[in-house]
Amino acid sequence: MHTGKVLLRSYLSLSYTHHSLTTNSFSKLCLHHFKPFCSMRKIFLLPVFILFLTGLASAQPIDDDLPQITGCLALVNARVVASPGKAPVVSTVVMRDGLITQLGPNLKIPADAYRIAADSLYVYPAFIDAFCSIGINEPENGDGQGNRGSQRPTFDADGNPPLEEAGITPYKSVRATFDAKEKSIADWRAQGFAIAHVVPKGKMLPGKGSIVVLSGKEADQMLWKEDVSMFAQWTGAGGGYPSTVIGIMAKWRELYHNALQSVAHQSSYDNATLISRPKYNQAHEALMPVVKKEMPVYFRAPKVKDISRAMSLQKDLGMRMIITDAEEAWYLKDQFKLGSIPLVLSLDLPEDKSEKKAQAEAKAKGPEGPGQDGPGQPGPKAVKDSLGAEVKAEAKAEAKEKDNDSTKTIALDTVTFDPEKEAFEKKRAESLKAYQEQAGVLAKDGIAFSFGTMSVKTGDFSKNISTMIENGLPTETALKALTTQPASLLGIEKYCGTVEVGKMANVIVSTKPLFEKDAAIKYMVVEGNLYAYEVKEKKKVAAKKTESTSSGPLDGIWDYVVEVPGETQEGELEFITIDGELTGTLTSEDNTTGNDRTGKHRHRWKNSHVYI
Amino acid sequence: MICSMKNIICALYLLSSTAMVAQAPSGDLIIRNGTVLTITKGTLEETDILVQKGKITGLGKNLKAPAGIKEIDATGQYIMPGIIDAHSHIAIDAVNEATHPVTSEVKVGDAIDPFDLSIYRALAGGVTTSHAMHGSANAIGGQCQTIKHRYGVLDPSAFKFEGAARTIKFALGENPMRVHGEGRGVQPRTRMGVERVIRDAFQQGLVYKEKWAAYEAEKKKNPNAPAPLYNERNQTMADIIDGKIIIQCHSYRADEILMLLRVLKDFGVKKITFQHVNEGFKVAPELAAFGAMASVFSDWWAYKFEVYYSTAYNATILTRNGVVTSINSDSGELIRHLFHEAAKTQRYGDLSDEEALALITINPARQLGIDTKVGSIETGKDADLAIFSGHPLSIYAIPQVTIVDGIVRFDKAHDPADMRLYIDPQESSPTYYGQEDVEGCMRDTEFMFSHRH
Repeated sequence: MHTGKVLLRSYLSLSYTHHSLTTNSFSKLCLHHFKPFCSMRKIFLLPVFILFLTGLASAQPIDDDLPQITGCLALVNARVVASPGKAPVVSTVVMRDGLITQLGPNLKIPADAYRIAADSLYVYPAFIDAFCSIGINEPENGDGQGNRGSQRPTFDADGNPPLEEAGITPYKSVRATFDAKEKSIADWRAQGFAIAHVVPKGKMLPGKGSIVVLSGKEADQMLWKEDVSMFAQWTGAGGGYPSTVIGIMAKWRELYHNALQSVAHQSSYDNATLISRPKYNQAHEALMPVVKKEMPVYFRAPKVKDISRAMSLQKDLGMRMIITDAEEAWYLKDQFKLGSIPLVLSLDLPEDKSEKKAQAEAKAKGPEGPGQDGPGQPGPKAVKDSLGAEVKAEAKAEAKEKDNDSTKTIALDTVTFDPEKEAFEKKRAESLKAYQEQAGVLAKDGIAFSFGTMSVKTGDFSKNISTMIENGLPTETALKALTTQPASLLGIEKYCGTVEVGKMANVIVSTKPLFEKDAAIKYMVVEGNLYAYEVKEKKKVAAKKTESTSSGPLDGIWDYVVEVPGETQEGELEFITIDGELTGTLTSEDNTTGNDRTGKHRHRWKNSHVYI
Repeated sequence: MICSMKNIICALYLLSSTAMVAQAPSGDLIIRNGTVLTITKGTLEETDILVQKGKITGLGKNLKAPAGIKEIDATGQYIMPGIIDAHSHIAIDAVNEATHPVTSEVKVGDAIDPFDLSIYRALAGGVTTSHAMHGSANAIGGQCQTIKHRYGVLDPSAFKFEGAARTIKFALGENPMRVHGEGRGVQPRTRMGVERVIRDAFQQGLVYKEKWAAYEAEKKKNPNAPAPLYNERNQTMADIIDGKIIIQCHSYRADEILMLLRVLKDFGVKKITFQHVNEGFKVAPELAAFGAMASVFSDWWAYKFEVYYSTAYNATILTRNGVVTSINSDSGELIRHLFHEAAKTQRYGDLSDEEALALITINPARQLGIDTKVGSIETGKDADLAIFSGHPLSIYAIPQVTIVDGIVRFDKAHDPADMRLYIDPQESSPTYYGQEDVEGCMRDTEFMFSHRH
């Protein structure tokens, strides 16, 4: 899941004027350009392709910076929800030089303030993202595949690959790969985020996380607190050591013990005589704050087994640990109830793959539906984006499903009633529900958690929050998990998380109460900088619905295979047309065996020989 | 047989018995009036077995039991100790850390998969304990984990067999040669290389041990003395030399078996069980003299060149020569009928009932260092029991109930079609039907060969 996602997202979220190209010429062009890219992994071709498209692009302004005429801003007579759980109070918010300076009814508004009449609008503290990779722009070359191929692998004295190749780079900071112009910054800001805890990309120990303010023209303005956390995950080094969870576990133990010894050695060297100089090891050095328990480890553990393993590592070694990006934390809620390990939940939810849903989508499409010439059978579905300004129609063409033998069998099965199938569908539905109820169930048990956007697409954010709220998550807890909870987790509660005098001027200005249906963000203020968004009327939306369901010729999920000598990597490339704008994601597989997310990977080997 | 209501009830039952607890769950029950195959103390007719807190506390006729205790009527049925599989790869998510010829520091116990359906399938074959092994890709693979089949418990660490001996996988012959020599262009490329790699690793262990001993001595004089670099790979090798770990060595040919015995002798290592050991019958007296043990297939060979030559009499010959021998599965399928595998030794070698059953109970228990806890039915031992409709060495016998620590983990009378504990909501078809993961010794190594040709 790690490679290329950001790479392509940043490139592929592009616009083009759909009608200016004929369907046929376009699809030809894509195939022509994509095949070489895939098979030869010549990444430079992609920008060429993108440039070509952006040449035709009609820019779509969402959140152009308004020129800041004055450093003072006043939201006049807004309904202000100062912190989670508080009722809206009609107040005026005055912000100057990045801070909230005045708050209350009947204020004397400074003469130089840029005034916004906000009497029909709601003001909330802006969101804080507890765990993400917003703004990281890393052309990945070491993508988890190690050094297979014609080249002879390089090893150190112990026969292990060098740190970089092994994915052990705890010394890396976000700064090195942070790009102030990266598209995700504006995208997530438009969803209500002002602050983000950003971690670098990599393998088992990618590096240290930093707290970033999502406004500014260059990294220096935006990087607020650097190296506040250590990021760890169950991603192996592919062809090099450690390639499996068992290797990663062993490596963790070794690194931790050596970092502990380094701390002791350094202290002896400083305080005693006749002590040989400690040999410098980048990894041990970087892990010193972790073993001293000064720096917490944010362990990315989406699946229940990932969480169990991270927790057992914590038990063994004793570091401060935060479980992040959790998708299945309810399995272990008794452990989280103890409160010793803080929790950051993923905002991603599994897709509903049930037959009913598929049939409903097929029906919605209608017999004369477009996309017959596409790679699959798109089942477009209009989705109301309750926070964002736009309605997005999501067309997911599952080309893969069509080719899948098992799906064909299922189709035949539906002719006759199959109790086994029924039982399966029922269990699957229950399972899906469990994911949707996760946040609600944990909240009910009094387990505190924050949200992180690491694994969710921008377009799914508000939809997923709504699903969670429909499944038992109180809106107050939802707001907490996006504001005060991550603020205290990150130790920045003094500066942000609420709308109070003295806090950073980070607010969401919404047309309706947050999380309510049809609520849309009209303005974002991030450290005093104002961003305005076009809020479309509901009527317009309805009119647009029919238009937006038209899917482009590329729409659907494409399988791709990258072949370089000695290895292949497979993944999916998804194209979606939204209002004539082509967008998409590239998802590649994590190569680490022993991870839950490698289920697919293992199945691929099913027909290989059994060696004994 | 399929009834969704039943599934739910069963799932609830399982979940209720599974709340995450630090200690492994245990239960109380009494089994009435069965034929008890104790393995070590003969066969007891019409006998009751009383179980309290997961231990066998009574064995005899018409035992008094506490009021309200769960009672199982075994009239006309046979009870044997829970079967022990000395070589398996079920219930773990990673088998091979195949990126280095020596990976003594990795532990498959770190990758236990509590959701693996193979555990339930094994229970359905009367198997209560298995030895989850690292694969055979490396000359010295990772440390293995003896597990109890507590299917239904969600905490992976609760599967670990408390007090079991530490074990480690070694591998001779073609697998490490292929993965490292051919696959990565490093030693070992030949059988000679395998020996070299193992000797080097032991030597490193010795050097490491000395370094730390010197440090500990120095520390007494100078508390500020810096410690040598910590290395779990070398530490594990030192632990083997110190007799703290039993080697479990994948092997086929007689010559390489003797080679390893010589290596171990040179380093003073005594504890070893040879796995597969298809030519063990050729060197049975040598194995017995060394005190080495053997874990074999009943009748499987010729699946590759180095295992071209073997015999179904292997287990018998080894047993008759005084080698502690077990029969293993190395497979998520074969594990379900180890009692059939043991029975084959009566066709090929005329082993007695007790000798044949010892191959899948007390003998593997000895090889795993758990024979004081399981492997026979005796008071004081763990209540890991398998109830069969007939004598387990009869082809007509069917496992009825399997008990782990006094808790019924499999009951043929209540055996729902879908026993999954973890359901992927995005799964497109019921993949649990008829699918069997490749559980072999060489799992997780395929990528090592991908660039060949």
